[in-house]
Amino acid sequence: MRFPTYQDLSKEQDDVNNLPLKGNYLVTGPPGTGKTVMALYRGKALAGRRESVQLLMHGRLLSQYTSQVVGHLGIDGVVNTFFSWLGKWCRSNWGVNTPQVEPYRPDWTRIIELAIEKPPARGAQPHLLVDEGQDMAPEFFMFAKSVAKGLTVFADENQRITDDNSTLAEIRTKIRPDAELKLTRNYRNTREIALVARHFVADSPTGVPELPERTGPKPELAAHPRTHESAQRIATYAGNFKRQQIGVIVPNDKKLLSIYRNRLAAALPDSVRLQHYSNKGKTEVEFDTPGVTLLHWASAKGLEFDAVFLPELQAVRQELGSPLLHMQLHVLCSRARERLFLSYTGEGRPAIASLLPLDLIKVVP
Amino acid sequence: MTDPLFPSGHTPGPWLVLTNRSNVVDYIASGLVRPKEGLEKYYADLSDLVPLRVPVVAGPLSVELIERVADRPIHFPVALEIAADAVSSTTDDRVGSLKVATLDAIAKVHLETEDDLDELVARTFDNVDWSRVEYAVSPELFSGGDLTLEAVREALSGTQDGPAPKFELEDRLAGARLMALSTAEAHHDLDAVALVALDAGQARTAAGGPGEWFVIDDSLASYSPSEGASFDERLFRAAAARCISTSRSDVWDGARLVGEIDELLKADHEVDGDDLARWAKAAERIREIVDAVRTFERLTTTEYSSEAAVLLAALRGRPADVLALMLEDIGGDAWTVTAAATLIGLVHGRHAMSVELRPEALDSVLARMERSRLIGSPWTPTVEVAADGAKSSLKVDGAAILEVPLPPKPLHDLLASIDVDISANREAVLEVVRIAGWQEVIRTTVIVPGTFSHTVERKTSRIEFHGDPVIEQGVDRTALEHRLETDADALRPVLERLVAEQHEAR
Repeated sequence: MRFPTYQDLSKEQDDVNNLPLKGNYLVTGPPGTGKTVMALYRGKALAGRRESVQLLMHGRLLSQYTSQVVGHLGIDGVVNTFFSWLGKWCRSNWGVNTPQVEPYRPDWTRIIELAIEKPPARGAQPHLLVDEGQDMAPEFFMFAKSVAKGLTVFADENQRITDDNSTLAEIRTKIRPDAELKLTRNYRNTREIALVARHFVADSPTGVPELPERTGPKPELAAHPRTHESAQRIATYAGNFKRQQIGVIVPNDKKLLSIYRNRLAAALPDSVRLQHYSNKGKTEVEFDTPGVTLLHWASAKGLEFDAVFLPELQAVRQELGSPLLHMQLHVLCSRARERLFLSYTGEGRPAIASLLPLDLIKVVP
Repeated sequence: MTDPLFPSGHTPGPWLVLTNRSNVVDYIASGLVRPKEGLEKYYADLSDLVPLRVPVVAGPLSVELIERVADRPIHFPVALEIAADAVSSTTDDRVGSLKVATLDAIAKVHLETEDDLDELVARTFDNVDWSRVEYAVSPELFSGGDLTLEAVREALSGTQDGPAPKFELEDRLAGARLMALSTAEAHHDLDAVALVALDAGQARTAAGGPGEWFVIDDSLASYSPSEGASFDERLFRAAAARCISTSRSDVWDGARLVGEIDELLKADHEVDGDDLARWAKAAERIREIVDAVRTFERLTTTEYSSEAAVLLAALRGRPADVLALMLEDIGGDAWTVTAAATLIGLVHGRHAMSVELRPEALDSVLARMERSRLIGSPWTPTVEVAADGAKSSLKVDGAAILEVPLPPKPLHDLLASIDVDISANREAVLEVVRIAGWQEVIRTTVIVPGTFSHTVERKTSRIEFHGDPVIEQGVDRTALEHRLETDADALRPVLERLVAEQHEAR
């Protein structure tokens, strides 16, 4: 990940990027509008002033990927999971472990009491940036406002995990923002990829961002006689475009992953790095460097690649009408920044192909 | 810097370009202060009044003008103090204007408060180097003025400009120049590419290749090759015209580029059937490589330079990626990489390119050149290439803007330059020539310290030496130079053998 050029940012992104470094702000927008990216840029701007700044993410989002992106932006130490940061705060400011009503449920009443009894020294107040603020409890914002020098919350209430978390109205009430801005457009994908991805969530209650203006080649659906040919095509692409970050995301099947790992290892040129990622394993993967990263569908959330290959669609076992499958296809397709390749192997077109918007896809015989 | 249309006149205060923080980012990114029409993303300021001019007003500033350009807290005002000789006067001595200025014309960037300065430079952009201008916090400039917007409008109403300069095209051409110059190292010869890229005449070194017709000028904007242009040149020009018309914000689509070139060449009646057939094969191969149904490993020896350049450009749409080709073993010659980089430079333009690819000295010369072309003023710098030890420097008006290392000396040149009068050097050279079998290069002298006796027995002479002889070996310089001229290739296996022996010994 690089910093944007000035021209890369739209005017709505300019407004978020230019929010004053002092004060409290709320930035909202549906998934895919780049809230996390803008939070990272703001983290860099604040960190550059040699003041304490923390970008808090909900645990599930602080993936290996995000950690590496943070490293490349030169803001190591700025990003923390919410729970990890809260624990450190309680120990360093009050000498206690995080008060909890049950595991992983902070005792906000006690925490707010402590914050009033022992407020941080003026120079020790951090700037707090909160990503996915809708996943935090409303009381968190009362606490955060009392201890932080400045607070910027990035949120989308349509993505709330449970009812225990915060609505935008609750966040507004608690932090009393100096300004509230909205991000509306998809900045990650090309228009062609976004059109395919949004096809799977057309009726989504979480809302979809406006289509991107950036265009690119149409996504492609290819049929391969066997896995060998499918892997060979990926290897040829990776060899020809060896400066790209390429994700090969296979259905959740250990054997399939193993087959692709072996085939790609054999077919890829020496100059192209092959990595295997699992969000559950301890594998160290470098996301922000060129090469091929092989992973399961289940591990794809939160990642991005220049080109994404989704092979072996015929191996998907879920019911075609399953909302989960539709959401997964949306997530998988929207991992691709520039190119998207779907494919299947074997005889005949698999049933899952009927879910694809073939009018938006280049079908390769 | 004086705009010839309007002579500069006396002004009561410092000349200021009043704008907001966002437009300033664009100015620093491009190295050019440009009017509304020149900005890709414009935030309303005084240039609204005259879209082809940048209004300049004498400080201090009035509240009315500041409110016109700024909207706190996000869009705070910024005032660029401009050198008087860059400003054209109007009928009002408190109002001037300029068409385009480089950063050299900015004496200081003034902010109203320390917080504004903090806010401005805290943001990081890939194409902005904040250190290229000086900053000052000058609250006194942001209050106390009495100039009204109406007075500015009236003063500027007399300015007349011709057609709008081609801001976008000149940026693309400057991007191409930057990229071409960035490949100079691959040529080991700055003359070859630098003088062409800077449009400084001479430099047509590669007879029969792109060096003969390679240009970066506004003739690339539309496909209109001269009557006698070769097919190689026509292909490059077709690719260049399509690259200029490509939006850099879109994903690079090599297959689309090939299709568009195809259309241009088919419509060109000067392209004969053989060349079209040849291109059809080349285009098919490029499409297959871009579509990943064919592997690309190296360029072939039968490709035209432009065919190879289009292939490389189709595969590498990002500036840093195409420049990385210089480090890869892909075959082809340096002009091929230069032409590919030039095409990608035409897609991206200069001002949106990362500052990592834009060394300040080179970038500011390109900005000066761009400005001259935008205002229709001739750009006549002194451009020279000078070799200095191990590097070659490109100098513009005496200042070095680009340096590339000279190619390493060939082995035989290195050997020829060794001083064999130095004992250790002599032994090393002797070892090499012995292994090479160059016997005549070894000069042997036998020194006998005592006397000798000579007897003749049965028609045979017998000479006896008295004493312990000393044998000295040296290098016959003339014989060595002859060998190096006629048999230098023999050195490689000799050195390889020495390395192998050294390896075994370890």
